[in-house]
Amino acid sequence: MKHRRNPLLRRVAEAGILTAVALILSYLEAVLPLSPGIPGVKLGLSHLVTVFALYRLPMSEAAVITLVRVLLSGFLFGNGVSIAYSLSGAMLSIAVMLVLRRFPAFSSVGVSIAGGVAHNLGQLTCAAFMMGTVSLGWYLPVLLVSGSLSGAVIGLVGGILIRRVPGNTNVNKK
Amino acid sequence: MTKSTLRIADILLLGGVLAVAGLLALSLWLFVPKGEAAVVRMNGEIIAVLHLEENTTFAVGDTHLVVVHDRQVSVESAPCRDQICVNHLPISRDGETIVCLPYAITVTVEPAERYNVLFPDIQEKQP
Repeated sequence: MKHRRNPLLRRVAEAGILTAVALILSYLEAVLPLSPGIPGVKLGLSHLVTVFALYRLPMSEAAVITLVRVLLSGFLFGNGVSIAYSLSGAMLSIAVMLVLRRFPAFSSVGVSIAGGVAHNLGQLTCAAFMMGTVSLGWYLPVLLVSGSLSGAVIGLVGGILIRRVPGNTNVNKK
Repeated sequence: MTKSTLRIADILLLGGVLAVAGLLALSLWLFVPKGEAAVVRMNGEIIAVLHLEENTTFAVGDTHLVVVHDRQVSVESAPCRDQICVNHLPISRDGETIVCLPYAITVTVEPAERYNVLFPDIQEKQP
């Protein structure tokens, strides 16, 4: 099989599979009542895929997978407003994680925590703009705690997956 | 195997974020006074100002019911699926907000003169 040795094909396939997994996790989270009913507080299952991709694929692909997932799940399960919210959260989150990923002092847990917090801050900023009020500052402590805790959980699980999932795609090996 | 295990920087980051959140929440509770007015906004524009002194009920169109009771304001009914604003605890302190995302409605407690020291950006967008 010649394909097996074609690195481009391989990367496209991997990115496609991970995008599909992320999309399914988004859907699962939308269907299952995992959220405690506080807006913005959720586990963020699809964040798992982003963290995994950050360590196992070229970093730019992690960003692309995340953006494609946000757009797809937004068009499939959401609306214009929800796309704006998740996009602002996801973009800030991936930007922060791309930076922290370069510091070896942080493991996937720290990177994921920073991503979770940044995601919530991005959404809060977006909400402040859309609502035309900054009084959402009351939400800040809640979202900081929930973002860091769910980020920690995702980071721990992601760390296990990064080590255990077979495949020689670990381009960022250190 | 040191690659993905918890590191000191991770714990410091988590502790730092939690500490900031705790301090923020504490200072909000300690220093933010009880408000005097509940301002109902739709798409950022004021549609009603309710005084917390008197128990009242305000209907936002035929969708939401905003209720002032015992110097606290809450949303009694909303047509959406998630019922997040209805489940929200009653609010009474300056700057506290109940948000309805699907209908872009907010209920915010503010000082009577409608100027908030903690969040100075609260300014009316007059139509």
